[in-house]
Amino acid sequence: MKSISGPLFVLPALALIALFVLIPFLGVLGLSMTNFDIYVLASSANLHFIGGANYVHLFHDQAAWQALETTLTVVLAGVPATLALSLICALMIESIAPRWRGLFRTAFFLPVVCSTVAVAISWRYLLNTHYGLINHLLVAVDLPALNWLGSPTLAVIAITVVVVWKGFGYGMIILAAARREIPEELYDIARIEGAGVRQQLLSITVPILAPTLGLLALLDVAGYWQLFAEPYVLTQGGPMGSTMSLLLLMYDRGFRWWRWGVASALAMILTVIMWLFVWLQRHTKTSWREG
Amino acid sequence: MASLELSHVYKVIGGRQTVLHDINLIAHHGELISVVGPSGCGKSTLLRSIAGLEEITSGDIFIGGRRVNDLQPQQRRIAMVFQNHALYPHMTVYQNLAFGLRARRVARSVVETRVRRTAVRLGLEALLGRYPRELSGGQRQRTALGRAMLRDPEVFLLDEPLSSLDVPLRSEMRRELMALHKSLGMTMVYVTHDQSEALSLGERVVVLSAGKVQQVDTPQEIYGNPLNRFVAAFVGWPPMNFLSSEILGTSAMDLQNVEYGVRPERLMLQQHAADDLSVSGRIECIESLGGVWQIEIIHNGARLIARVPPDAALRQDEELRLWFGRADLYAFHKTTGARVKVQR
Amino acid sequence: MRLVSAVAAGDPPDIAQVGNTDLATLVTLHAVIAQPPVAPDFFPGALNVTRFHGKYYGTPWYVDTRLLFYRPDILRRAGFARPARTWTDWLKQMQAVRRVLKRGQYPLLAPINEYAFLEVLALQQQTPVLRDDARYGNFDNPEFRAALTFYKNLFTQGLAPPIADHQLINLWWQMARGDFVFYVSGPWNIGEFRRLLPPKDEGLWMTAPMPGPHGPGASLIGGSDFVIFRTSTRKRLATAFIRYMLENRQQIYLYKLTGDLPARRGPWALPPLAGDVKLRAFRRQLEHVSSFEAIPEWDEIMDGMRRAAEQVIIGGQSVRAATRNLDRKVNNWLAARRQIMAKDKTQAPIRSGMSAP
Ligand SMILES: Nc1ncnc2c1ncn2[C@@H]1O[C@H](COP(=O)(O)OP(=O)(O)OP(=O)(O)O)[C@@H](O)[C@H]1O
Ligand SMILES: [Mg+2]
Repeated sequence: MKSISGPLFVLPALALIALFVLIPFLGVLGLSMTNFDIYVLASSANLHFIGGANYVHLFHDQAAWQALETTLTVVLAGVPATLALSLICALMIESIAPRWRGLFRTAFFLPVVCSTVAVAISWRYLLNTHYGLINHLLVAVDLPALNWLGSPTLAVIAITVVVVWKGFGYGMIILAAARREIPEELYDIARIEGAGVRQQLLSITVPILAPTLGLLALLDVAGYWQLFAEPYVLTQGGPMGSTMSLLLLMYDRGFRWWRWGVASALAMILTVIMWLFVWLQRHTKTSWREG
Repeated sequence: MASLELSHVYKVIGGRQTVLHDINLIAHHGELISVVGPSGCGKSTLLRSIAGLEEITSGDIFIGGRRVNDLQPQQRRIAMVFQNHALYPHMTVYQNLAFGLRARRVARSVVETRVRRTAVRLGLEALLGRYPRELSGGQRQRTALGRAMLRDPEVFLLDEPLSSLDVPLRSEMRRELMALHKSLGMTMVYVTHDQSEALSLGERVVVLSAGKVQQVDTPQEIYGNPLNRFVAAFVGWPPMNFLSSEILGTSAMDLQNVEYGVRPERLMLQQHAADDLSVSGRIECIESLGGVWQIEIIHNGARLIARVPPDAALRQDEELRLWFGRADLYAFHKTTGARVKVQR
Repeated sequence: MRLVSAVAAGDPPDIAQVGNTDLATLVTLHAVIAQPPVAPDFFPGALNVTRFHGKYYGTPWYVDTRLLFYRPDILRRAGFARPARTWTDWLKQMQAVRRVLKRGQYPLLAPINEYAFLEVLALQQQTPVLRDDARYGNFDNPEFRAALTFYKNLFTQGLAPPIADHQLINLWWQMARGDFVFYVSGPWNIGEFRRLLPPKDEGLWMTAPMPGPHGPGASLIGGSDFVIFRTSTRKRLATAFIRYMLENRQQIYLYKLTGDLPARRGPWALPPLAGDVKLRAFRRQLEHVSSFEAIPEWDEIMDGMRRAAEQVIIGGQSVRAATRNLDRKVNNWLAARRQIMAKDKTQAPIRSGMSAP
């Protein structure tokens, strides 16, 4: 009785994992090794197992490499930027008068709960070359107006900015809560010992928040690899495919061009990349809690 | 080592709430002063004001004769230990101990020797590589103490450092603290809300209530010669019994508008002297504390507690008469609470 | 497309309204049945796009084509009474127009993320962009290169800004301001201009047929067709419904509701269509429409064409390299189609568009 009750209790959880994770995963893996397209839908006799051909195809597909580069750029630039901005705002919010705190917290958190599509459309106006506020500000300080969404390099920067702007409020709330958990006495001691503000930040605040920052980094990395809505609304992957993310490419291939085999291969690649990143992070020591 | 002096110190928060009210206090060079009072009376605020963590509203603070009002905490040559130990969770014991020396850019080799010496002194040498969460409560507090000692302070401030420990550990740590004080010989201010700790530890005791100093004196005087009803009630356990003059029913003293007090351990089962006074009532409960019994009697609705030697004759719900000497009777003014002298 | 999912799930509706490429996809899936034309007066171009293997698989419901929206007042200011009819004249016209514009204003708006304009330019040529029954790309031919060069010059000569449509703030307002003088678009914009601009601005815009390489040019035919699904158990009722929807009354009612243009000539002779001066160009253009082959891969190929044009305009690639690259990609995309056709031609339907023999 005792020996089977344990497995029995985890069975429902395992069944759910199998149902919602393992089976779809295996399904996609299987699909990625077939030629599944519109003709297969017309007649299943056209379905063939083609092994790694879709992967080979993607390996030689310049658009896939471009999408990988773009997504990686957004992850590598966006995650540190988001964390830095979250941390700065969290500390700022915790240090201002409680009377204004709620206002700022709400303002910074608002983008997180806004629909990405609405956010992206607003940014489209802000980034407009002729009428946008951002270029007006640039011109006002005697800088040249920039073709934000029309230049391949600037478009990637713009997308990253929007992604960071949309995301940092979440980390800010979490970090502000974590900051509140740090006893004030730790800072009292630092003052008594003569540690300045900079030293307090670097040797107390940041190290203590490190596990939280690590967790946020993990979430952000996972989220930013799945970049989709921002480029979909802001640039539709353009100009010249510069803002095409892996997920957007997958959407195009799968749902616009009916190439499900290739789209599945892309999904698998994205999954493996994300696993890789998570694994890398787990094995980088960022946390004093893990000892 | 240096003396500590507070002169007319006020601390007003938000322009309305007076947390510290005209505090005047002198701790002599090398003296151990304990500060006691109920929760919220301003003990921590007092200590933090001395440390410079809080700005005082008015008054002056001197350390070693030097006015420190305008000095930053690190310039005041003080060290502080907090109730929650305030160790850095992401640093090992070694790093915690070394934190201040590092912040002051002391040479690595000097840090190493000083930290080791302090660790040995506090019995922490085997724990230097551990993180605070891997320590017991006592070890954590010892580390916090060590960190404070490494500051080489002139005044040592401790804010309820032992209150998170269990009772046996607390008394052990208390002895260690006293030994430490003796060997270091520095001025110490020890804050606690536990009156017995304050009495047993302090060479002199400051009783604080609602931001005001009620009495400053030796433990014996505080216990035996309380200046007012608050000190009398706050110091001693179980607390002093208070009786109205009617209950006492004595004609020998006809003071107006007073309330009498007598300590539970002074109540006796027999009369000893001819002029002893007595009070009687129904026994409400008998509690055996091993060597002594604690008895509660009800008289005219008033409750009295007595500590007496075990006596098998005592029965619940029976009438009992308790005796006490005239010298053990205190009188307080009913409205001001001030001590009133009784002719003995 | 949701209908493909419905077919895949085995649960399509009786009738659906689909676009041209989607029609080809559904024919490929053997999901819809052939139906003879329900009226004699469809625009031939519209009817033609529903024909696969000589049979009609859809009934045109409403039609759509692309032509010029323009600012007659600015054109007059530049010295022209009406828009040009040939590419060469049009180029000259735009160069002249530019001289009367302010900084930041352009003679033409041609969003680089839309492919319809370039598709029209390609369609106006004799040589099709796919060959051998749409088995291979044929973009690398002199005529398409000429079309792409013409298109490219519009941007490189500064006649049109290289922007995407999402970089516009408000197209209609910007047209009224004079930010753009020409814009190639479809019939829905008649309604949009009227809805979004005040009535006093009605005189600020006009429509005209597409200029062509050598004279009035063809345009593409779009719109929507009714299809009946093979699985439907109420095919007679479905046919009756379609017949009803194509009566003059209903066609005009649809136009009033949505601005969608009737697929039959009949309703065009009646008010309000007959009296609308802005519709006249559409009426004429609809007699002069054509289309490429419709195959399931068409949208992907057009998207590829658009990207190739982007490479030329923004990326600075040569037209020659871009068309060669495009053919290589298209050949890749058509690999599955070639395989299927090698096995069984009926499995990969082709509409009798303009495919090279
Ligand atoms: N920042 C503040 N704002 C308002 N009131 C405060 C503030 N800090 C302390 N007080 C008030 O000052 C009084 C004294 O607080 P303090 O912390 O010094 O008490 P304490 O004697 O240390 O109590 P405890 O034994 O519970 O630690 C309390 O009534 C408290 O509410
Ligand atoms: Mg306190």
